[in-house]
Amino acid sequence: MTVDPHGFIAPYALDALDDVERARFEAHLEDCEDCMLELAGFVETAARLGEAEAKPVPVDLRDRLMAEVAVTPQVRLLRPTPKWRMRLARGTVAAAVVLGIAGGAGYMVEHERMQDAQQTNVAMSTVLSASDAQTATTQVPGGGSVRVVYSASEDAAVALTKDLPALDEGRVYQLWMIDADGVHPQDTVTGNSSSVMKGLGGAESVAVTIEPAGGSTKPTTAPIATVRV
Amino acid sequence: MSLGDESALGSLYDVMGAAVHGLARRIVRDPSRAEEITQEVFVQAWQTAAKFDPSKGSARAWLMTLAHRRAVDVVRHDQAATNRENRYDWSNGPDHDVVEEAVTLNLEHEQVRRCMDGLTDLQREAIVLAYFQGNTYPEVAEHLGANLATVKTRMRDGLIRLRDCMGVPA
Repeated sequence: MTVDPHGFIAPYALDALDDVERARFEAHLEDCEDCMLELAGFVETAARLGEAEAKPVPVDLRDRLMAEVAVTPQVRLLRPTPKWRMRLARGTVAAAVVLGIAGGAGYMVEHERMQDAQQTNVAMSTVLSASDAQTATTQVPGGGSVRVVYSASEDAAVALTKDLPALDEGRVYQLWMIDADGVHPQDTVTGNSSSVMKGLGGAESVAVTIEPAGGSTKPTTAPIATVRV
Repeated sequence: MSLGDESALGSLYDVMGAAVHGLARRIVRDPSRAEEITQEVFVQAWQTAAKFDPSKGSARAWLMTLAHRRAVDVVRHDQAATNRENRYDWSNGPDHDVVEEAVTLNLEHEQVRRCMDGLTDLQREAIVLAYFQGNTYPEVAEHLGANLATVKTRMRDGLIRLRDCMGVPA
């Protein structure tokens, strides 16, 4: 940016930058200690403006939220940034948020995919918050479970795998949607995953098989789990 | 492997739910959109809790920042909302029921109002147009008939004055 970046601290704290300027300023921010100091005070100040607008929340919203959280995986950091590494401590992160202390280190991390997670989250939220959303769960004999939340009105489902057995290298889990026409390939997934399936149509069930890495167009093994929807 | 426990998120919601909801409602105006945003924000907080860096600010501020960003994104992508905001008379501050409920809910509200009253008109208008209505600073400049540099300066001066008035550490 050609003008003094410090002038952008206040507009940034007020979310008064467009996406392009916001990204530019954030790039600058990483190397600007002074900016971060001033920004922290401005962010706290803005937050208090927002908190003063507190307005009662409809009582059923808490239940809807907790139901969604129960089936929403948390994003894990692939590797902490140096700043993080300095400050991380063990502990449950959500509790840490409540207490305002650091938390969440010490785990090996799988994916850094904030963007994906957020986009998926929008699609997921739509299904999970649908008024006709229903849930079906199947326990997998070898361990873990597969849960499917589906909504006819959204014509979509969210499939959650939880604690499925670890697979040999070169093998993945794959989801399938089964309807009167046959078996339709869906995403390949890990043992702990969430995946959105669109175009539910007349689906009767969702199945999980073990497939070669990259997935298959037709199942090559018998399902380890089938969830009727 | 679990990063956080759900009851902690429930506690966070119990403490901050009304603030997130109220801010979203103030910005988007539409009650059902505000509820959706509230739910989305707490789910986002749950999902991205590992990204929260307590060295950069309080958990409350982090959550309010998520809420504000989300509400602003919604309002900017909603042409109808833009039309509504142009009709909204921001010079009178929050509408009556918001004020009344906020007062009963939040003891800090009186302080916030007093601090807002301590700003110059241009500082206050610049902050309200941006923070509560989701305008970018060029849009604020257009609303106020001021140039861009002036608006940025007014925002900064206004935030500094509010920060000091509220006793937020500089």
